[in-house]
Amino acid sequence: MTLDRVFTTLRGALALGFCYHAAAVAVSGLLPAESALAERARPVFATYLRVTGNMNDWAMFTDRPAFRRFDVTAVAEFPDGSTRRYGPVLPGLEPYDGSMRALKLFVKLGQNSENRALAKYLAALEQAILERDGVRPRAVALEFDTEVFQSHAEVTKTGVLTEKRTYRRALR
Amino acid sequence: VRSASRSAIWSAWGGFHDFWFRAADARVYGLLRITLAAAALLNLGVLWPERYRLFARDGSLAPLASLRDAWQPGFYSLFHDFGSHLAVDVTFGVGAIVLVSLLLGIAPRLAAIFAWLFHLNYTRWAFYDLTGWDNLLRGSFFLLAFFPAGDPYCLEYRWQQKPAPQTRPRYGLLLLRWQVLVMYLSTVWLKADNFHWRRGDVLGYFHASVFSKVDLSWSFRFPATLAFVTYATLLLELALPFLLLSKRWRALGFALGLALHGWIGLTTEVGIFSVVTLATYPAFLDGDDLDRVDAWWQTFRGRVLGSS
Repeated sequence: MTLDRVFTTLRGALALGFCYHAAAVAVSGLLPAESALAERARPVFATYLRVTGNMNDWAMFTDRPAFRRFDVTAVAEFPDGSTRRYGPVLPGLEPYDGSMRALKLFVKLGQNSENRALAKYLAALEQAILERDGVRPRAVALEFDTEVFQSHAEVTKTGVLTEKRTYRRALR
Repeated sequence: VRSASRSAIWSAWGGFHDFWFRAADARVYGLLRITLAAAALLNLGVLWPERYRLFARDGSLAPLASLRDAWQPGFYSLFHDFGSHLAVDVTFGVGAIVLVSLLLGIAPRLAAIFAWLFHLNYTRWAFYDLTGWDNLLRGSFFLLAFFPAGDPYCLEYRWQQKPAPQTRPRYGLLLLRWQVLVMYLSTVWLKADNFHWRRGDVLGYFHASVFSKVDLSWSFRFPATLAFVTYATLLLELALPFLLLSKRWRALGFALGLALHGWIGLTTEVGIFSVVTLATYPAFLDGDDLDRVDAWWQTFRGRVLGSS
């Protein structure tokens, strides 16, 4: 076998390896996280996935959406007992505009009061309010004004699709 | 025996090699390059008004960036160190130049690599606020970076008056087809055991929600029709990649895909996902398809010009 043929064969093997690897990585995303196969396959591809960013997460609208209407504002309480409302969007404490990415962000932040992301976001809001008004608020919360779809049992019982729900998310 | 097994190994090798690297019409690669670059430019245009909110160090996602250690492999983004408004503008400017270069076919390999890096960079930073089309664009550009570069639609061949390659190995097309197949099958796989998808009312909720531009909450008055349409959507998502793969049913696959994604594109707030998905469809074409479209176009043009 000539050196030239060795190189050609090696190059071909590398290219074939890449193709089969890329195909296997794509299909590994189909494996349910709780399956025994995923437990074995995921670590094999984990580093490659993180470096290339080729995550195959296609969980889009796998359940009914939660909100018929969604709005959010930031509410700050000051040491003198006063309360002020601000737009929750950084930079500039801009009002929530309902864009798809803003919606996704605030829906995730509003899921509960015990997530690290919410704590970090509220701290950044507090800093932005201090920079704008010169006073550090005593507490900041996100206030969600929404219309949510009722449970299927409730819709069947009452015939009413949604209910209004206003709730706050602040640090505990 | 030794000679026979060696011959069998070489024969298998040849088979695998031929499957992936058989010649494909280079125009298909050209069309795919153009559609993906155009879809990515549209995405960039949508991101542009939100760029400071999403990527600047005083933006909404900056406080969340520290949820990940930037120095872990796979987490670093340029926005960790260059988060001023000017730096964000420059990054987006470079992204736009790269995508226009890819669209026109000027240094397409380099442009594809930088297009992937642009998408990788912003998705790493904005990991908390990603969408399905970010994933699809990033994955497609990764593959595009490994595609055979150069096709008859590249402007650089015309400028340099060099003959453009007419065929290219088909592995890039196969990988992208596989990616699209997995995407469609995943969505069906994940939806099929959901209560509302199984009940057949999920589309009613969807078109009554914040994600829809048209309010179809009245559709709940027709539960049987709603269930039929919901199941038909699932069936369509399951069938589409196979229709596209089949030479015989491909035209139907394109028509149904266009109808499904056209509906999503026009009536929902996630329309850009449809554009990006449709941008991957040329991967399913072959040279015969392009010849047919070309012949149809010539006839159509001849008739229109002839009648005017």
